[in-house]
Order: sequence, then C-alpha cells, then structure tokens
Amino acid sequence: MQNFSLQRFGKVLRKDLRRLVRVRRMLLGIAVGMVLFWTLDLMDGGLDVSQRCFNVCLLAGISSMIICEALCGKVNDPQAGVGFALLPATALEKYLSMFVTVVLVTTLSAVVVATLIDSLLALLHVGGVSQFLWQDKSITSLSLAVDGLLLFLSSTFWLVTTLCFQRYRYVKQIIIFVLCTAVVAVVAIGCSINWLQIGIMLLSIVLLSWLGVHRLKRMKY
Amino acid sequence: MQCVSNLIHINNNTDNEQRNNRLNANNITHRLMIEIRNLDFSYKKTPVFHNISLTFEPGNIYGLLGENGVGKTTLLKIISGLQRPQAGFCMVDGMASFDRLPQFLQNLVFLPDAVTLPDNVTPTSYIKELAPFYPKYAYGTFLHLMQEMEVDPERKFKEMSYGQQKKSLIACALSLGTDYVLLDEPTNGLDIPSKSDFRTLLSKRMQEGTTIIISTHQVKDVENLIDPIIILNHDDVMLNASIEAITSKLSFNYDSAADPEALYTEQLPGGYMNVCVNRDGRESQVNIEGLFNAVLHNRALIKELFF
Repeated sequence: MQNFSLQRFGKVLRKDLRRLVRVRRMLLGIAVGMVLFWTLDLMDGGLDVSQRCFNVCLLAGISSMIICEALCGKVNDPQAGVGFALLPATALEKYLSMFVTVVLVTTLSAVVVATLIDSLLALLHVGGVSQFLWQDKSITSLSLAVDGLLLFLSSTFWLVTTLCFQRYRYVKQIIIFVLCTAVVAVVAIGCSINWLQIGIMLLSIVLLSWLGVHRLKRMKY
Repeated sequence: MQCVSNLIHINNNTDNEQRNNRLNANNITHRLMIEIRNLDFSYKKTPVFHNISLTFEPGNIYGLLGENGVGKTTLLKIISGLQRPQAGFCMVDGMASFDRLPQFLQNLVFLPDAVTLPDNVTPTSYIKELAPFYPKYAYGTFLHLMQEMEVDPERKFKEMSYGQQKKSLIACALSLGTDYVLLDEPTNGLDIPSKSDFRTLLSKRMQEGTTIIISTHQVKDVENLIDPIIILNHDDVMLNASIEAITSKLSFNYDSAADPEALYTEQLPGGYMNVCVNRDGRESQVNIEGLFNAVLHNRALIKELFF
C-alpha cells in the first residue's frame, strides 16, 4: 500500500477507460461476432439453459481476452511499453486500473451484452427458445456467483500472464490455461458448489493480482 | 477514508525516514541532481558498464557521446528507471530510479529514439492524457512549442511524417515542465530549420534550471548547445568535462599542415584540423567530432589531463 493515492488511481483509471472507448470498433466487432455466433448456434437446434449460460460466459471470457490484448498487450514490450512504465503512478495503481478496465468493466459489459443478445433472440423465438435466462429456476445466486468468479478468475489469469510473458506469449498462456483447467477439473470432480470453492477462487484472484503488481514493479525495458 | 489516508501518510513518513537514513549512510544529498555511483550493468552475459560514477547537476545540457554499443541509451534507461543496475546505484533527487516512484517519474521525461505512438491520436489528445500526472504541465507552453515546431497539434500522428512526429513528441516532452529531460537521438529525422528550432527551445529550457541529457551521434546538431560533454567507453567514462575545462586543456586549431604532436588530426578542404594539448593557454572553439576522436585515440593521456 506504499504511496497509494486514490486521486492518482482515478487519473490512471480515467486514462485506461478512455483507451477502452478508443477501441470501440473492436468492441463493435466483438458484439457483431456474438450476435452471429449466437444466432447460428441457436438455429442449429435449440439450446438448453446451461448451454446458453455457457455461451454467455464463453463470449464474455473471449471478449475480455481480446480487450486485454488490445489494451495491455504492449505493456511489457521494450519499446512500446516505455510510456506505460514512465507514467507517474505506482505499480499497484496501474495494475488496479487494468484490473478494473479489463476484468471488471469489460467482462461485466460483455456478460450484459451477451445476455441482452440472448434475450433478444428469445424474444424473437429463434431456435425455439422463448424463455429469458433469468426466468429459469436452475439459475441461483450461488451459481451466478460461481460463474461470475470463474469469469473474473480467467480474465485475471489472462491479464497477469499478458504482463508476465513476452516471447511466445500466446502459446505459454494457452498451455498454462489448459493445464490449470485440467487440474481444477480433476480435483473438483464430484464436488458441489460451496463457499469454500468461492473462497479459493477469490484467493486465487488476489494471488494472481499480487503476482501482476510484483511483475509490474520489476519490469525492465 | 481519513484513517486510511493518515495511515498511508504515516507509512510514507516511515519509508522516508528509512530512505533518508540510507542516503545519509552513503553521503548523498537531496539536492536536485542525478547521482550515479559505482554502477555495474550488463545484459545477460554482455557487460556494458563497470564501476562508473557520474553526477548530473541542475541547469546544464549534458551531451552523452560514445561509439555504437557503449551504452548511451542504456545509461538513459537506468537514469529513467527502465533498467536496474547489477551493482552500485542511480539516485535522482535522492530516490532510486528503478523504484519508479510517482514523485520521481513526474519530474522526469525520457524520449527514446523510436517511440510507439497510438494510432488515432493527435498531439493535443496525447498530451491531455498525460497532463494530469505532471503538476508543472502548461497547455500554453505546449501550444507555443507546437507553433515553434510548425506542427498542427490537431493532426493525427499517423498522418504526420517521421520528422513531424518527432517534433510533436519533443514539444510534448518539453511542455510537461519536468526538472529532467532525457533525449535519445532527438535530432534524428529533423530537417535543418527544425534542428535550429530545437536548439533554441532547449536553450530556453536550460535557463529555467532544467537538467537535459542528450545522447546523440549527430554532434554537429548540438555542438553549441551541450556543456558539459560526457564521452563513454565500454567500461569507463573517458571524459566528463565542461567546455571551459576542455578548451583550457585542449586546443582545436585549423592550420595548413598537420601537427605531428597533435592528439588527432583531420584533413579538411584547404588544410587540417589539429587537436592538441593546450600548453600555452590558447583560446579555441571546441570541435566535438575532433574532440571525440582525440579522446578515443588517447585515452590514457585524456585521463591524465582531466581526472
């Protein structure tokens, strides 16, 4: 918490949110892609609620990966990252701003847009779907919390690995992501959702974030 | 919120006390200056600096010269906190540069040779994004500098030539009002009138007490601007002297014949330029290229004369 300034953090956040607005063409492309994907998927033959929820999470996850790459992909580049490194703010302020922009704002916005698209298609009865997602009784607060945390965890993972790796970044990210997912899947077989899992996911987000801040502090150009 | 800010204030005071104790132990003052002591640096297995020490005082325009690969850009990166030395330290106003504290960063601007610019951005919007982080930034200064450089601040970077981009970035850098300005090959890509404008602008900044460090191969572009001059070698500082000290110890003479006792001689149309030891207190104007070559070919003697 050394030298953390709320005012300065606000300035960094404003700067990053403005950059997010600047990539609006990319955001529009992602939204159009979502609509096409969803429509084709629904017309392929009706989806049940869990498949539709999975689609929402998948598209939100992909959106945050794309935006993370667009906004933070050059942060550890020896040439392109110099401006970021020399911005007068602490590593914690810079990381928190990226976290808010990529993990929270982008992911939540993508979930909202994906849900709206799903609702619109349900309204139009595309693929025989007529019920809105939130009307389904199988979706509980706990399942929403877990899905949300999983999304945040995967976005945080993607953000931190973007900061950590430079050479062959995509390969390393995908390999580590697949390995972690496989480990979690094996460990969690037969486990039901509970507060311990939620606690572990929250802790993982905090630990990954600590790693991200530490990486930013020690980054060399 | 008040409790949190008080806690942060207390923590800052404790950190400041620890930093002051460390500084006092190394006899380092808080004066506005850059202090490099016993610096060692290498890229993996390639050594760059070994045990070099330098001090940059305020209100000077330092010229940082050296052969390709000696580490001029690396030194600027160490000063701006982008690289960390393996041994020794680099302190700017009493703060370790690699810590990259906001108080340090808001007082320093580093303009590398190659800059990656955001595409759809104009100089005005670029500087407006940075401005909130620099307390001494002045929009009026930015507009004035852009006018001097004859570049439209509302034109996007991607629509500009390389030289125009460079001029815009120099204007942005100088308008931030920092105490330290580090420029790596700033005249690359500038046309002749722009180089003259650049020299004028920098001279004005020097009067405001700013410390400017210019790393360059284009010595003729900055010949009447830089003072003192630092010439680096692969593991040593070959020369670190003011123009006054240089001209008191060396003379730069234009004669019809080569001087056999000259440290360095260069044939020019109509005669020779000789760099000699100034034994009789002769006044002459420094020829930086001649100085550089003389230093390069007479390292031991230069050390004896200047250190």
